[in-house]
Amino acid sequence: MSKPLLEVEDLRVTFPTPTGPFRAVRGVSFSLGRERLGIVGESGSGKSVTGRSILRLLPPHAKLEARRLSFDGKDLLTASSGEMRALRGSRISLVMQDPKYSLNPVMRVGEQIAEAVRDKGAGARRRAMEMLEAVRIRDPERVFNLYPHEVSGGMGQRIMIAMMLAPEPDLLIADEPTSALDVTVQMQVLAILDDLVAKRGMGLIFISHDLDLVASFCDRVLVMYGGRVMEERHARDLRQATHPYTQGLLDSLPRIDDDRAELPTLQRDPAWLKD
Amino acid sequence: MIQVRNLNVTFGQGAQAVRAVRDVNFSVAEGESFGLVGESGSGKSTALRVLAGLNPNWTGEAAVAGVSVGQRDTRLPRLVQMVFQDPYASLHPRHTVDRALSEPLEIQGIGDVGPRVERALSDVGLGPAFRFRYPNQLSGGQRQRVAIARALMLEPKVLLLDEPTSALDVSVQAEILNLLRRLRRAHNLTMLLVSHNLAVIAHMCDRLAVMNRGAIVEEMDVATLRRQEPREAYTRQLLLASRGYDREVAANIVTYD
Repeated sequence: MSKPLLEVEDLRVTFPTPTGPFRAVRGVSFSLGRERLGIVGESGSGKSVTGRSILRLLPPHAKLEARRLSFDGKDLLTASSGEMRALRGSRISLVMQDPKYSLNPVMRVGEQIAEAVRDKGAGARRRAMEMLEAVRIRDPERVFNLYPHEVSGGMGQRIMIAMMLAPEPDLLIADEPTSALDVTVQMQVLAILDDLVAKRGMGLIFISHDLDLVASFCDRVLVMYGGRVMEERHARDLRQATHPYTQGLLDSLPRIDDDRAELPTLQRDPAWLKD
Repeated sequence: MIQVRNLNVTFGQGAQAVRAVRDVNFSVAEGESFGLVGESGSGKSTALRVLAGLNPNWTGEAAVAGVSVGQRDTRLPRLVQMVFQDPYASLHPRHTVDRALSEPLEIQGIGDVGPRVERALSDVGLGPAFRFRYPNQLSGGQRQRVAIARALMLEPKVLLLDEPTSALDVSVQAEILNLLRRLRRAHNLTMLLVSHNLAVIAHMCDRLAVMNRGAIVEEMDVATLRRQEPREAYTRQLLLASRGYDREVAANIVTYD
């Protein structure tokens, strides 16, 4: 087997708070090849902080530690901020949840995509147009000249994905990229990501709270709770999860075809977070 | 209990006019739970807001217990109340839980405020310790419980729910859905629930209407939904897309106008 694209070993992130340090991520380890890895968990599970740690995009007061954090053989812990800047966007990209807050409101969307292209100049506009087509925007010429407030949420999300994919990154971190979208648009956006992983051999970290979605879309899944990985499974087997936390989450979801009168609520066991 | 006939809502004027709700008809019997399901822009929340009296620009008929919602009738607050989607935005950040819950009683001139507030809190599974807290001292699920308690302060017959759990984690969603089902039985409430989540609708409702682009596509009972046997192609696509990612389904998605 070839060397993994990303290796994370014993990642720990701590935020100082007035009541003492808060350990948002406590000892997370995983490795990623050219595949779709899902990270699922509820709010506060540390899934987003884990994603951002890879890009070292954390507030300055956060403390990031790891035994190992390497991307394509490069140590991200000791990389200078200049080296990190060279990686961000061009080799590792991050797609965030809400296009309303992540696009520049006073810049045409096409120009924002062109800005992300590695080789600037005349080719950038053409490349931006290609990217708009790649994310299945029907009329790229028209959309290129729109401002973010003139596009719908689904289109805004596709524009962000186009922007993040323009420099052809090796690794895409997608943090709830489809949670704000309708199910049918969500499916289309996922199909675009699916193609890119399959055709270009990109690695994908897909962060989501939606267990069913991750189970159907990803290859492998990490289930996080309280800053820790509760279990790691093949996505196809997620329904057979053995950990009581994963089980509890799956049971608490209402299903279209069930007629349970009462949904079981999750009983959290403090032992899950023991050191 | 709820009657909606030929409801139309238009936003904007002239060429920019958007018909958000188009010729919508439905009725909900006393004690029944009815769902409105659809994607964003389908008009489901707009229809709900008409019944809550939050949307003045509509034509047609909309009545709760025979009282038209267009007349600002003073009986309405005691007949119909609403719970909103975002529990972080729907509670006043500088008002305590006590103040949020006593305000409707004071406006309506109902006495016996203290005991009623405590009873409402225990009804939604919050102890008396929560009474003098501020929203920022509560979790999302606890805030939604307060919002539900507030909606029930005037003992309404109808509860309007606009995506009441979509901002919550799934484990908290289960608690709130259980609570709503329990309250519905205990108070014989009529519920109108708006959601994009078919599973939530299937769990909570007896009947439902599927909406697209402002119009009702079809109405069905929950057994039909559970068997996944809708009449319309639009609903079939929505059901397929809700099942999770499928390459095949994604490639065949069409837009229905």
